[in-house]
Amino acid sequence: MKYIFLILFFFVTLFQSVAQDKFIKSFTVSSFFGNRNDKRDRFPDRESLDFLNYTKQDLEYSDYFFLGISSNVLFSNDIEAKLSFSFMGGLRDVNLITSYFLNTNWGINFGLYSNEYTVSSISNYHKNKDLLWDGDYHNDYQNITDYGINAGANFRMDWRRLHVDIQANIGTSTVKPFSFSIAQKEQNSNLRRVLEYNTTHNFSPYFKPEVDLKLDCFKFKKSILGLQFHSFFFLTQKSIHYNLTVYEWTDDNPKLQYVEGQKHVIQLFYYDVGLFYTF
Amino acid sequence: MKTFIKSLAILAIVFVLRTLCSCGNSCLDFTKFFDFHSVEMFNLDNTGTYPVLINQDVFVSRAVAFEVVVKNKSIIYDNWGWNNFFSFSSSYATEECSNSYFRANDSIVKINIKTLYDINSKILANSDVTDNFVCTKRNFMNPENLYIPINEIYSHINRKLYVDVAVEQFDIFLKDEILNDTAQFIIYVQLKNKVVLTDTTHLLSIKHLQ
Repeated sequence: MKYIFLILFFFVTLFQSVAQDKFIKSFTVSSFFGNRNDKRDRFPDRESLDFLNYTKQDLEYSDYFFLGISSNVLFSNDIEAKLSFSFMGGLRDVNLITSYFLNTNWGINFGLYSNEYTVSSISNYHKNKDLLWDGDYHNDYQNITDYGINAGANFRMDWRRLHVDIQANIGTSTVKPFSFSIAQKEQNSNLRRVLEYNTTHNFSPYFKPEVDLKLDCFKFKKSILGLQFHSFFFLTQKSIHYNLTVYEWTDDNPKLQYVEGQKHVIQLFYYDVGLFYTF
Repeated sequence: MKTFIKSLAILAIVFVLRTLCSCGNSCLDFTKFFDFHSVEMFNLDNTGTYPVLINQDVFVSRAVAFEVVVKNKSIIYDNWGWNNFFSFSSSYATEECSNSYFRANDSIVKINIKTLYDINSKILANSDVTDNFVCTKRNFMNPENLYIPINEIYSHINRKLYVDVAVEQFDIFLKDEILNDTAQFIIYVQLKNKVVLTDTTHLLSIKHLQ
């Protein structure tokens, strides 16, 4: 967290100093409060563990409330860069968008986006499947980071005090590889084993339309204080592939298996409201 | 004046108690050397999540396990005893080395296990079954640990120093299912000084679960 503020502070200081040369038209900082609504497909358990069947969700939906900060720089050469962080408990979403405006209204985007979510109760899969095995099922919680790059088109419009920015982006993302292991002992037997899951990169396309509304409330001599509303939708079809290593008795001669996860449709809907200050 | 004397008395009591608590064995003799004289095998019930010591000689066919204890003629504990209460002995100010440490004069260099009965059609009576066993240093902090092969146990045992109790102890687990109704094993523990310690288990009854 402190590193993020340090980075923001660095950029604010940098852009403030450069702004004096009119290289930067304006600099905007904002803080906001919002909600992320997740909808993810779930399937019945198969022969192999599918992590995406264990994402946090109640009745298929899950809400994450978050606080966020963002900074937005409009350069004099019609390039705009926006970096925002959303914090929801131990999870963090990062959204970076760089836009180049071809004329007053139309522009093209390039961006980076990452979102985090939780899979929990993963051990339920083994509890249900491995009925003759006891296990250490305490560690069955995992934060998953999905990150990717995107590009698209941008339309902006100013109407009196209202500023509208609409984007349509397509991109590709992958789940950051993670490891997860479970230790088991067979009942009425000496046999012990450890199942070690190591996920791999698997890129999948995503679609991310986005809308940003800003209303100037108070205009000062060289600055503006206003309200903002921001929302975007994230649609992808995601699967988590992994290498499963099974150690039996000892850590010698493990059995290796590559498992491809099922494709899950994932829909994330973000919206937030907040205050911005432009100078 | 009375209050002053009472305060002094309380302080004196506290001082004496602190002095008593601060005295112990000298660091000069905190390390004691000992020899391994015998080996003993104890039955373990490993049908559940963790192995448990049992007195019965009945095993489930796929869960045959033993605790192996290599020790002196008798298990040596820290030499604290009732005599400390009822006799006079010299005491020294307690230092960091107040724990009793034991150092083995020998180390275990080889472990062999032999079966006295057929285990199945391939493992016959009087054959060496060392490789059919795996072992572990029982560690309740990490019960999920996998086993280690017997030939890798030597780096985990043979500690230079033993704290409080002068025994070497580890558990062994048979990997194979015993198809016979009875079983009996002999363990040979060879020390560095060529001495071989041995112990034979009781005659074990094997229970076959469906």
